[in-house]
Amino acid sequence: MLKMNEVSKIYRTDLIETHALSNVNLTIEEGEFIAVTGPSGSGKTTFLNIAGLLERFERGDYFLDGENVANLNDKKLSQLRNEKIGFIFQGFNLISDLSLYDNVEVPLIFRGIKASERKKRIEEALELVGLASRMKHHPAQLSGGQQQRVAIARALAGKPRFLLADEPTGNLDSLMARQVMDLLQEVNQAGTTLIMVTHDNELARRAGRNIQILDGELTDITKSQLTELAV
Amino acid sequence: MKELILLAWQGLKQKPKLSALMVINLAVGITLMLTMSAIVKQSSSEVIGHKGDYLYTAGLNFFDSDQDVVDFNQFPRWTYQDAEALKQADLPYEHLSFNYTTEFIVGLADNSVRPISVEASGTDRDMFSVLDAPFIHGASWSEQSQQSGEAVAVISKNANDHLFGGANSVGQFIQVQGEQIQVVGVVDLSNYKRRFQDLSFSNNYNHDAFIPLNYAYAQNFPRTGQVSCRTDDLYTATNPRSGNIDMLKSAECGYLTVWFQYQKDMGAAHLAELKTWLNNYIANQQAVGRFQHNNLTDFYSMGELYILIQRFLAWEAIYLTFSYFLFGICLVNTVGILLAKFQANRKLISLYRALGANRGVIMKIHFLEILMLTVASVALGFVLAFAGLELMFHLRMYQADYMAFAEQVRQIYQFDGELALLTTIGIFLAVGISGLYPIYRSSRVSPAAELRG
Repeated sequence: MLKMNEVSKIYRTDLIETHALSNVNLTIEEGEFIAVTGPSGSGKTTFLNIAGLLERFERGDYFLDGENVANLNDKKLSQLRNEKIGFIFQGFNLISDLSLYDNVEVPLIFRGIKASERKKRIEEALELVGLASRMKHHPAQLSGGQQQRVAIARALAGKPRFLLADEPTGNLDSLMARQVMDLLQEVNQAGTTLIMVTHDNELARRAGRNIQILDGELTDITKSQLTELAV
Repeated sequence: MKELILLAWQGLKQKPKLSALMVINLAVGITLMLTMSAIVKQSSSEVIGHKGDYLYTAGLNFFDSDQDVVDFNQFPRWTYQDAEALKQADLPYEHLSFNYTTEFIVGLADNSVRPISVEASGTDRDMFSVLDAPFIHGASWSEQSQQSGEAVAVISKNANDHLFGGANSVGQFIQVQGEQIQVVGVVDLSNYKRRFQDLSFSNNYNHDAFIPLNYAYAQNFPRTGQVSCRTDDLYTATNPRSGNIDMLKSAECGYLTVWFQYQKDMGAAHLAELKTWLNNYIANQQAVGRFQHNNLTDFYSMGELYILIQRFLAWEAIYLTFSYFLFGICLVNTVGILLAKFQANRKLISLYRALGANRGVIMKIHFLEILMLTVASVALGFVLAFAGLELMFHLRMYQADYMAFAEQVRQIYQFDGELALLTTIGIFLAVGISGLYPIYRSSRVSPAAELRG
């Protein structure tokens, strides 16, 4: 379970303070599929970064599987990030010099998993995304959709509790986007909590629950409201 | 660890041009430092350094008082008459040896090999003890041969290789100025980086033949080393080089270099006795008008001489300082290149952080990356230093018109393993320290910093 109480994030420069997130209260249950929507600059990515322990926050409490992460040190945060969270980025963020196999292996190396276990997990993850036969290929040899599937495999190989996706289909055409979304939904249905930031209301409607962020403030909206928004 | 090494390797490949720049930058610094350090170390290393405090040479100044003699280099060599007086004195020493440098052409009677011009030494058998001469065949000539001035010689390995194809030539004859001289020994002085025995400290070549002084006098082999005469008359000043030997023996012309080897730990005490004897000798000679100078004697141990010859290495020392300075600049460049490289790798670092690498892991990866770059730099630096020393060796031989003895010159321009090891340790430490700040900076990259888009 993921629970935020009064979480605030402020970006400061010498001249101005920007409240990227203001007093966010949110509970996400195991296995949910959450879509996070909102206009550009509203704080969606900041929310995702904080949820994914990529950024720290100024105020409030954030419980990840019951553990308050507010005051954890870098080592513990990195460990939690590695063990419990998988990331999918809009730009895939694969390492071009590495094969698909090696790309998927990276987070498992950081966890210190033995080579034999790593191999098993990588093969399973690539099998799941339908790219097991191309594990020796390099990212440049794949289409955008395939690259995103590799990124999903990398995220899933660590068997995370939470999958955080930031505009996962943003760089894909509609066909590939649909394939990737189908895959993500499959993963969610298998029990992984999915939190997805998107601009696309069509994609957001696939989620079980929608959250809208506007000027750093978070609003839980229902599917019907989302449909109205789309209309 | 193997996996981290692979990730560090990925980091290297991310910005190959910057990696190459760092390797070249460091390798140039290493090459300069290693090359100059090797040359200065080899040039200043002592020959028979273990005798540093009990092997002495001395100067006895018979010049007129208006002739400047301010340091040892300007002291005249010993005259025949002073040398003979010293030989007669009852003084404690293990070995007393005189020598002068000469040149002649040596060949074989049957003309089976091309004759060669050699620098040789007219000396005594004590010289071989002073030199700790490493005989590879035979030995020194006997006392009897020395006294009677027999036509015998000890030749160098270089000469033996040329004349006899490296075979044991003891008992064979060489021909000098039409005379047959029997070889009694062969010495290999190629490891002696400098020819100290005639105070030339030449590192181009050593003597290729040693012959008894009495035989050298009998054949009147010319004095081609330092000869200093107390006269303004050109004929009297130049004639002793190759002229009448009887005139040389009675002239105020110094040409003999003297060595006193004392018992170990007795050098200072026995030197005091020599000084007393010399003072008395000078007093007696002053009664007949000699020794009017106010600076009459000078003494140097081998150790002191090697301190003195550091002066000859002034340029090398400047080059060495310059090479250290350049290496310092290379280190500063390294910091800059590493900062640029790690800055360019921010996205990769950010990704690693997002995927669960903590700051410690990021530091380890970058430390390994620097380690790999340093290994490559050291390897390239060693190759370039090898090439640089080889090039300088050939330049030196070219400067000497290829007359220098290659094996001896090679001693100066050889790759020094011990120095390379110390340099390697120093470089790893220096680069490690230089890399601390870039590594620290890389570990501060936020996981969320570069992953958008």
